[in-house]
Amino acid sequence: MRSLDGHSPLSAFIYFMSVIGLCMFCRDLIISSISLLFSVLYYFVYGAGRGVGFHIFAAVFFALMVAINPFFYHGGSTVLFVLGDNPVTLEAVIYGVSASEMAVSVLYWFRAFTRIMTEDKLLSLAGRFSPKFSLMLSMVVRFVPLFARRSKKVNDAQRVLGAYKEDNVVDAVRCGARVFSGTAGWALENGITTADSMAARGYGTGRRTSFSLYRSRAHDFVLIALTLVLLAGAVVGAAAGEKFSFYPEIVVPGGAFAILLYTFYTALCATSTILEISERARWKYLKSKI
Amino acid sequence: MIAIKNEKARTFLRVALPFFVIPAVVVAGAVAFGGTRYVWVTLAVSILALLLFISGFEKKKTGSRRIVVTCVMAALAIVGRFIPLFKPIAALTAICGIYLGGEAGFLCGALSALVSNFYYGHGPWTPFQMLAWGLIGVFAGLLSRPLKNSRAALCVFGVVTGLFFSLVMDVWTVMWAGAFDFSQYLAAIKTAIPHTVMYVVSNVVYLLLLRRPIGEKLDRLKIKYGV
Repeated sequence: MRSLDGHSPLSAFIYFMSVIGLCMFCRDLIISSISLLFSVLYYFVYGAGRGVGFHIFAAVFFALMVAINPFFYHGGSTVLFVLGDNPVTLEAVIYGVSASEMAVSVLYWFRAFTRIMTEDKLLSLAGRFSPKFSLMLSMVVRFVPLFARRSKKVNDAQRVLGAYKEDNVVDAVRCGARVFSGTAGWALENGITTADSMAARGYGTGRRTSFSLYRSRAHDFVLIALTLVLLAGAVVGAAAGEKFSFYPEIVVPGGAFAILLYTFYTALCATSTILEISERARWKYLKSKI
Repeated sequence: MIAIKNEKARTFLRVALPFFVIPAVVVAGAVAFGGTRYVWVTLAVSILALLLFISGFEKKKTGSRRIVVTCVMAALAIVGRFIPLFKPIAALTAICGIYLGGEAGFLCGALSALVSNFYYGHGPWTPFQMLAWGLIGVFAGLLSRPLKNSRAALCVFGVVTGLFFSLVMDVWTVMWAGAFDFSQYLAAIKTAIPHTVMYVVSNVVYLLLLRRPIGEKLDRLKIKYGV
């Protein structure tokens, strides 16, 4: 089995959207807990980022959102304590926990998504839908580092000419704008050259196709099918079963449909981690044989 | 997508869709789902609006020069986003809209939101940013005549779009955290005041600083190369 990275962009995209979409659609403490658990687990297993800054941000965000909710909603039957005139209820706290678990888990999923769905993968996805938009996207992606380098050169030249006083905000903004304007002049002129070169090579004469490095193989279809089956099962469970309810009392749904929803969603969330771990294990095994 | 021949009808649709049809869908969705699924409805609608626009663009014949110049403007906006504190994306999108028309403005805003999030991280907010910045470009294109000629109009436009962007993103923040609730929305607006002020100030400053130099360059391209 390959990791999510080794799959085609389409299957990885469908996978992420299913996991995130279902989590955002179900207002359910158990679903959001499953999602948070596996999103954090996958973040670490995949190695989506180093440094603790993001985790601190996520933790503060989580705490803030949990704290805020009970002060706005006063529904619920179990009053914990009364603050001023407003009762703070257990149900509102639990609801806040669920909502912030959802939000934070989506943050973690998207961290991994940004790492896995690189520009070229997104380009090949966009190319299926709109070759022209994909062309523009690829040009912008290429122009950004080009212009950044160019603007550094312009900036250096301006500095040598004596622009910038170190402690003057107005001066800094004006010089920034001047450097920017210089870069823009060069960039636009360069763009015209690019466009003429495109036209000379026959842009616009035929139907545009887009090149993609990624080809769908058998394992991609397997992953797509697996994702869709798990998603369908979970959606059926969510639609037909009882709903998790927060107000006026917390009711955890039971019954076959709820169990279907929770098991299928757990399986869906766990797929990415399992794929990643199994690929690592296979690498280790193959290396040990050398 | 069916091509609409009448220019006026096309412009009308382009404004009517995001501003009347989409809110109507949002309200209908909110009623259907009992007011708990706003996030989904709005996310679906904003993605739909983007797809609609792009598919319309795909069908049209656009010259290579126009496409490249729009891309250059989007890339410049992203490079400008690296400057700490100030965010010139909205200003450059507006300038692109003023001088190259609403469609170029929309593409410039949407593309720069999409690509700059490769650096800042994608999230469910990406389609929202694309749509919000894209709409700023469309409006700049619609209002291009007064914006070209009057500094006061430019300032007002900068303030309004800064507020617009910030308020739209606040709606998103609140809905993301749960069902939409007006008191929470007010709280979100209050905590976002420094950001809002920064958006407004940087919009106005960059519009005033960059409109003339960048606008002259774009006009020159139009005269010299017929973009």
